[in-house]
Amino acid sequence: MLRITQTKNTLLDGATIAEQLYTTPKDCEDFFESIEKPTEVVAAPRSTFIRAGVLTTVRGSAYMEYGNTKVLAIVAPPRELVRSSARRVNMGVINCYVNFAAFASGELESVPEREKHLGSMLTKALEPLVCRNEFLNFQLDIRVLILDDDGCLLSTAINCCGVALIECGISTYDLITASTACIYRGYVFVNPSAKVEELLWQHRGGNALVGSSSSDSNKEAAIQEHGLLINASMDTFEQLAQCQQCGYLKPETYVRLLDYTLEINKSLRQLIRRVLTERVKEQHILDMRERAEERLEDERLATIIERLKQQGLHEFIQSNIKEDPYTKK
Amino acid sequence: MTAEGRITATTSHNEDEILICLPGERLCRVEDNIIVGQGTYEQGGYIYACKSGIVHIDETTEKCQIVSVHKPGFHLTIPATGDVVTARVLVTTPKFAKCAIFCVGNVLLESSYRGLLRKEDVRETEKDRVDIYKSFKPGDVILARVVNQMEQSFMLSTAEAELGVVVAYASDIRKNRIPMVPIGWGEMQCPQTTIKEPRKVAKVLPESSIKSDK
Repeated sequence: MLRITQTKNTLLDGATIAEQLYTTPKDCEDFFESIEKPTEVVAAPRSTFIRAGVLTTVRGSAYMEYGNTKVLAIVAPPRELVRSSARRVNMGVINCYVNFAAFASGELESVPEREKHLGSMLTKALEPLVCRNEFLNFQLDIRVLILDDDGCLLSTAINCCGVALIECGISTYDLITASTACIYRGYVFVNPSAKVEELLWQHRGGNALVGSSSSDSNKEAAIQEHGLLINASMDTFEQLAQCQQCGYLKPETYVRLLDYTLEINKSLRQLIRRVLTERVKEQHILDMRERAEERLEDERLATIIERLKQQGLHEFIQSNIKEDPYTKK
Repeated sequence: MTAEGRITATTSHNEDEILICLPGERLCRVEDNIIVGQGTYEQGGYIYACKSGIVHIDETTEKCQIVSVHKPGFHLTIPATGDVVTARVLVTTPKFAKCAIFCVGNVLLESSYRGLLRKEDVRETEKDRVDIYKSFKPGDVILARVVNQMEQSFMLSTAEAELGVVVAYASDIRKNRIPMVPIGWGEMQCPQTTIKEPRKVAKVLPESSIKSDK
């Protein structure tokens, strides 16, 4: 009836922890016991830190900490499409590149694969966000560096990229926010940590390892609800930019998880709004200061020109040479 | 000291007036006398912002208002149709000249964009008698107008008196880098060697007249 696929699930790629925690179903039980389980579901984001414009060398950059998950996103100005990769499209192309810092993940083998999956899913999430008609025949490169990985990787990356895009001045239809929720053995984990995500993955992987000998326990486990939902939303038009799920969920549970994520998205949106508004104010003040300095410079030049007109060129040069400290030596 | 005072004065003065908006924020209804300006888009009868920045309503013309959003700090510039751009000629062929656009209006670009100047777009009159090699040489800096955007590059045009070669160096003493002096609409001369070379020379106007033109 329900077949358990043994391919590695891309959504759960978000998190892996270094050591092999368990090899037998018994270990799995023990590990599950050791995780602290939420008594009630609080649909609130983790403690979050967002800063736009962290790098001075790149135009659009953002850094985000979501609990222990730390992500840096960089958006470069659009480049022209290279001929070889030019498909006949009448929209701008978005390319997302995700990279793990060398110290971010203990398991190095799966890193390239995970980077690729995360990159493609990030691209899908951002495509409805960006006004792609504004840069035809251009490609937008978005780079994400994952500094630390404690679950909710994709949703954090989406949030961070949204801020970086706006910081770069690329037109977007809306603000984007994303969050993750999952259910395992009747417990709903909002913003699952790396351990929970690992458990969810091992739940299938572990079964695959055990193989046909314990097909009974397989079935029993499969009937239990387990699954993960990542949801990216744009609230102005109440659109979902991306909604991905995996695992086995009943429709009612699905709706419940969806509601949780939407609620988290709303509060994250408030936070991002505040951060971006502050950023605009900050930049505006800087701009005004720059403009005032320019005006002063203009005035200074104007007085020089005025003096030049009055004194005549030769006299002016003479008077300036006297002021020059190097000629004194 | 006076400068500091003035800066704080201006910022505090503007602080009260500025209206900050973020992408996806509804600005106003679409009406006949409201024009959708930069940094905004129209959806379902309303105008929304698509950039973070400061709302600017231009009421200089009596008939209509232009709603636009200006992002402080860095803002992205991409050549658009009708813009005057500064480009460097890279390659010339009998049919076209390839250029690298490095400046749009008075904004210096971070990276250069490809531009293509076809033979037909070099001059306004006598289009069939134009020779690319008599108009441009690789290395020249030209002013051009963007005609449209093709798949791979921007189509440029210099078919105006004000557009054409601005800075050029004689082909034999390029090492000295002495720019040639225009001595007519179709010729430039090197001040050192008095060599004359054919170019499509731009009649460069003072900044004041260009501004009024806009």
